[in-house]
Amino acid sequence: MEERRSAEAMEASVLESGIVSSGEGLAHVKVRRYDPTAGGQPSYDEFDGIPFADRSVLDVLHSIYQERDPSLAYRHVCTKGFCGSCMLVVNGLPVLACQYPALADMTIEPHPKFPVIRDLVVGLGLDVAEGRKDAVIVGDAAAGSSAEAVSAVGSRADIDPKACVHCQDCVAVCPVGVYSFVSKRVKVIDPDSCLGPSCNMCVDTCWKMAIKMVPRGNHDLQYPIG
Amino acid sequence: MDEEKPVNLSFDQSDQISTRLECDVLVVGAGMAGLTAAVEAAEHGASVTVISKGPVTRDGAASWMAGSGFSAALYPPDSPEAHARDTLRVGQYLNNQDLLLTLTNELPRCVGLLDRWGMRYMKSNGRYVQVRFPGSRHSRVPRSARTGIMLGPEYRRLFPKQLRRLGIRALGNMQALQILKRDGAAAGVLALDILDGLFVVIKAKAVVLATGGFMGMYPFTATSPTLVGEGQGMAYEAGVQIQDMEFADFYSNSLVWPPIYAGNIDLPTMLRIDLNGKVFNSRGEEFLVARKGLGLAQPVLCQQEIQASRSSPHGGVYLSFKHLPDNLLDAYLNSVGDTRLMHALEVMGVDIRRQALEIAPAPLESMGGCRIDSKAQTSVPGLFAAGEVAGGAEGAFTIAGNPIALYMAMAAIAGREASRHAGEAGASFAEPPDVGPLVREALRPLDNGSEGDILALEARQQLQVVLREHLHLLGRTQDGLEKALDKIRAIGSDASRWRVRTTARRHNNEWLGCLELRHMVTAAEMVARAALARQESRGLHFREDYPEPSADWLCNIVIQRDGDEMRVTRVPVAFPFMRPGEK
Repeated sequence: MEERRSAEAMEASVLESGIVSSGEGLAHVKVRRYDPTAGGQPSYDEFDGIPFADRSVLDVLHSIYQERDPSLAYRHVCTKGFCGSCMLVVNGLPVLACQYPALADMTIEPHPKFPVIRDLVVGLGLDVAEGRKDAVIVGDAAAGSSAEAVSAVGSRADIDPKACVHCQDCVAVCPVGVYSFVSKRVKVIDPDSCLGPSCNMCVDTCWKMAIKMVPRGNHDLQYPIG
Repeated sequence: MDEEKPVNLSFDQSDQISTRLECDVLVVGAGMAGLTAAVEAAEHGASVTVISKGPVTRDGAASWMAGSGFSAALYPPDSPEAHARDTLRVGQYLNNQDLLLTLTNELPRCVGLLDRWGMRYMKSNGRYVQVRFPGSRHSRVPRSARTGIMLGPEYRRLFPKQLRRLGIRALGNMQALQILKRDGAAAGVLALDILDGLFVVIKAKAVVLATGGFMGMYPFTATSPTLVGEGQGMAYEAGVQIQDMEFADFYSNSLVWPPIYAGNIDLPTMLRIDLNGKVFNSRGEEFLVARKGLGLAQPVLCQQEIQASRSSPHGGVYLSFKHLPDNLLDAYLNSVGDTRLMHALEVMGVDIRRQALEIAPAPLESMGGCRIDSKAQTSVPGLFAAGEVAGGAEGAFTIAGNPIALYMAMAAIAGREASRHAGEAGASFAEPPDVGPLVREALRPLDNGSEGDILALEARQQLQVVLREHLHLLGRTQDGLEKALDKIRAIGSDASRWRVRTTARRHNNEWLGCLELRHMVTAAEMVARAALARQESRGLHFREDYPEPSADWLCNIVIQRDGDEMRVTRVPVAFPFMRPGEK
């Protein structure tokens, strides 16, 4: 199957964990819904029969929005893997929605690192705003999917300390703040948030080729792997 | 699910307006042009606010997807004049020559600015190493020390530091709705804070529009689908003259399949350039070679194959590398490394040794926009325009490496001039008119009672069908364009009946789409009218009923609001610097 091969290439480990069912071309999608201003608790809406083969997670969200439920809030800007604003969590794995192949059975949640504005939209806190109260975006951080929900499978970026020249390109390019520049060294400070190969911006941008994708979950791993 | 709450339309304004701000210079848009204008205005002493529809530096600006081209004439024998002459030849003499010369003279300074801000250039003996791009007579693009063909992320990296250094207030998630005017001059902008669904009024002594182009209106696009011509639409409503809307750049090397990468241009571009890929139609003809003598542009030739049922199954043409030996391809693929593009090939399940990619022309860049003078000033005092939202620098067509460079130069000038304009305005702000009616209008789709019987979502899809069928590369005939215009006007005339089903105020995609749609309709109508008016073929404006360029049409089609009517006029181009056909 096309979608099976796609998923395999992207996240072999997700497949191994049995999350992907053999697709008939239609997906079963669970989406986390929450509006902090409306009160109440986060809930999950389920959608069946969404075409998903050869499409991205974002394409599937477009389908839901256009054909099933226009009240779904999700962010999409460039749709081509450049802006990094459509990050979310699919089956516990943080990904860039526009570049991650849709799976037959998906639970889609907002990225846990940022406060939820509504449904899948999170506040990125990128505004440079002096004297504007909401520069730190008001949302509900506690109601984000919890960090424990992040999958232990799949891959995330890591730096080879021997090759890194601490130029901070990865710090600038990473949409979720995996890297930080502390005491004159670039370090991975938040590996759980990494969007993996669907984003890959740090790997692409690193001119020293010091960044590689390594298995997720084990923070004691030392680069290089294998 | 969201709790459905009725919207109270007899509102107290203070409930709807969350923030009121003042600044000397307000920049709308935060791409390369917007942020450059902001930095330049702040350097010249203005207090500056930038608003952007997306999160700042995580927005859909085309600049962040830019390739490696950035033309600037730095050393003899090249010169700003030679740069302008190349641009005029490719622009087929429709450019504003005074503006263009100002820009090409500004460009060496822009390279210096980028260098100072932290752009890494390849240098040899203290000189920038430059490469020659097709269409240029000299090596004019300073080579980056970075790998890869995309420089967008490199540009994007530069700006946060500058914004902080100069204390520029940059607000993301702000959808600009309307330019506010007082006594015929720009006095600020009404915007919607997308995250909380409340309105923001920003008073300014000068406004710089840098909202980008409108190529995202098309259903299949190589640029960001958020670039839908709101700037052109807002400017038109404010009474600005808009020119050259019929001209756009369509890029042939855009993936059509699979949907996950639809509109991706970096993968096919990289492979085609690096590996000398061949393009076939479904009959196995290398039609670009066979039809070279017709004098038609590559995107038009590709689109003709696609519409003549000689296309690939998904409506493209084939980009093949099978003529190359396996070991060459293997060596190449290994050298590229573990990049996103290689992941994409894996995800697509395409083995380029055996299979071809499916590519088709996709809208990339719009040439048309606000008519500006060589100080980036529009026809409305206090309103400046820079970047893709402005027209006139490029004429009918563009050279690789020119757009982002010219746009940055334009923005630097716009920033300086806006700052000067704000300085002359003195200490007090012009009071913008009451925004109550505008706010009420913007809220209407949320609760459009019995009036609202048209889903904005569906109206938008209808508009996209018209764009694809009649305002794409092909399909521009008198008959087709008249039909398109009728359809667009019909969609627009129903605006008071648009409604949305979602009433949530926070990030309501449906409502935001509806607010965009008003400007999309205006922009689309301008494209249709300009394409209808120009009875010749020039650049990628290909009129099937007038397939040749004509000297009678050395003029700009200028559109301006006249009451509720769109007034279309032909304005002859002046040739103070170079006449058509000169060497």
